[in-house]
Amino acid sequence: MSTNQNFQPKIVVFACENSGWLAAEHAAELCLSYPEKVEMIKLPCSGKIDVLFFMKALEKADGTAVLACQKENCKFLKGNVRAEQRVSQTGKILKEIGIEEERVGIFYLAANMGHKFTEIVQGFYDKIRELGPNPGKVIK
Amino acid sequence: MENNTRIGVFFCNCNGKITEKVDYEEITSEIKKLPQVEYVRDSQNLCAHLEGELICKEISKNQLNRIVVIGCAGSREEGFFREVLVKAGLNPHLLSMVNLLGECCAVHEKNPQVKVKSIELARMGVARAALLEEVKHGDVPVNRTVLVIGGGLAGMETALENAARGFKVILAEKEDKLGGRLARVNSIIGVDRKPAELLDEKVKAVTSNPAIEVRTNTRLGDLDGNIGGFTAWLVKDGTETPVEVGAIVVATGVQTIFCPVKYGLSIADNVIGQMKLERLLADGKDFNRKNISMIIGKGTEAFNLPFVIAVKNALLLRQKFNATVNLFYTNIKVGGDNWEKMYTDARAAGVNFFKFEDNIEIAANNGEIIINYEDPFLGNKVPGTYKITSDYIVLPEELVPSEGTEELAGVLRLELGPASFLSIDNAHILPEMTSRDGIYLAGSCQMPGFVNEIEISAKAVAEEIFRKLYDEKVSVEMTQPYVDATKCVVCLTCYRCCPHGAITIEHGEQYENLYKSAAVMNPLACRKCGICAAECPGKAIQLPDYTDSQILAQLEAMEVQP
Repeated sequence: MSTNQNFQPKIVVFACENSGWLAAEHAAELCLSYPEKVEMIKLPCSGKIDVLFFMKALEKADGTAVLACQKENCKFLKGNVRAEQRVSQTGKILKEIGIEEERVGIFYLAANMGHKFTEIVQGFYDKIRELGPNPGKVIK
Repeated sequence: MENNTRIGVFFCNCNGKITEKVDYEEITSEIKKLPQVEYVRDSQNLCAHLEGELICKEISKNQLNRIVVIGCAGSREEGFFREVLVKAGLNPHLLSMVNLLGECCAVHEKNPQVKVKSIELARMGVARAALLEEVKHGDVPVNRTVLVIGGGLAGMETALENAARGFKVILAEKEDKLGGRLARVNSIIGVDRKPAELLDEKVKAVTSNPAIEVRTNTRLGDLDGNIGGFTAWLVKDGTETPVEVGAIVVATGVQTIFCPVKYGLSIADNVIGQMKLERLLADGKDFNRKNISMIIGKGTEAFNLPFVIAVKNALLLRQKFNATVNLFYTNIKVGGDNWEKMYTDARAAGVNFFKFEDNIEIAANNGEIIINYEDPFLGNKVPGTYKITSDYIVLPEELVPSEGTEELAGVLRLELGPASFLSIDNAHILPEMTSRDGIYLAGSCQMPGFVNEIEISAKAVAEEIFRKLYDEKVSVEMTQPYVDATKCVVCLTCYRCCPHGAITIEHGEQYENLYKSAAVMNPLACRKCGICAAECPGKAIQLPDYTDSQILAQLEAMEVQP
């Protein structure tokens, strides 16, 4: 896959409303910027993430990630562990159908980590940009 | 309702903060093209109070039944708009909020991509709004009986506090009489009374209270159900009797294990533990002008209790018997009400404090204790070991959860926390709460605690139970996940993965599947995390406000770029 210098990937981020979503709000308060083509979807807990959501997101975007609470610090005890399992499950499915499994990721952060949020998003964005466009996108 | 969805879109300028970066006209022209969107308007500041009334009017005038707010999506604003919806006669859950300020305007510079993103966000919000569902309130009948496990001071205090709030209480004690471990103690820190006196008073109050039923020699065998409707099987002499209760308070406390081997000693008359010392003091043993050494350290530093007890007893021996007290410590933790003062009092009264690090050797020789130790501070100036002889050595005991805590945690479906004590849900919100609503902790079963904290803890538990079970029927918002019984195959995945034990399997003819049963989420115990909905292999579970179709519709509304 040729890496186009002008390629701007689109990312869908699922955010737990107890950590990732609040971290994004914190980032907004601090006016920290991150790439425009990052869209967020709010979930009540990272454990609500579903393989189906990831797959649907990858029909539209080049990469997708879930933001969960710090390990051992989930408001619902095991939500982030469940999310991690969902991510690895999605990775396996992606590998089977010939898409890079790095296109799906999980990141842990706390509600007051606005800086970490932008760092994570920027890092994931750069990684996906190196990978190039997602071959599995459904273009109607 | 589906055929008659009328979406109203309200756009907020946020006093120009939003229109500075994105163009209102462009967004509205896009939104107006969407089906079901009946009404679009903008405002300078949508969360002002007069605007609320205006939104109400517009909702009834245009017969809108789904509202999209494009602006910000903070929890404060969300609460405000939900109130507005209720005032307009709509269900408060028919609201979709788009965080244009936070996701677009505050973080990006003005450029063509921001325009694209803002339109996409608005479309996602509208797509979600079209699929929103109403959430109703329901009345849940609850049982107003409280089961208290453990008849120690914490258990009795909790029983009394609950009885005072109009609950019926069953107090289950595994021993044959009430009292617990406090009966073995000589004096209490921070409480100016004899423990025996205090216990007598509480036992009398409990036994004379008609609302409290005391069951001795009883333990909890099994548990079923959820808050407001537990069925607890109480085991007495090998026979199980079920009782219906609404809430459960665990007050099983702590036990001490005397382990002199850790210090290289064996059990002898002059090698005693702090609990034994308390017992001897209560029995009136004479320590007049004796030489007593105490040790704190070697793995007992996890809790405050051993430090405070040692300092308390050292001060008491010094003042009452004029004994020579040597206190060997690696660290002193006296963080609490008046404890620092107790420590300085002990120093002023002439208790000798010796710090050691690792190098301490204790030997018992013909009724005499010889302690050799190295002082880390003096060691630089006067090297070598110091030798101290004394008549008694008092060692700290290991503090472990009381016998059977692990089995109890299994029955209650709770997790064990640090040092195998029962784990609390969140130390900052309410330290008495567990991961399951309706099961609370009081006293030392969560961490070795102090008598003066028990009253506060018991009151907090009773208030929390009263807040939840305030009447025979409680009204709750049915935001718990709902199950499509035709898809449920009773695989128990949700039952096992629910972190709050809120799911039960119900049987009945109304469940239209092969098994005539389905998983049911308890609205009182559920905390709306949606883990069950995600785990369900049959996609039979949907969480209101976050249904699969709503989230997929949001994704569907995104544009694909090659």
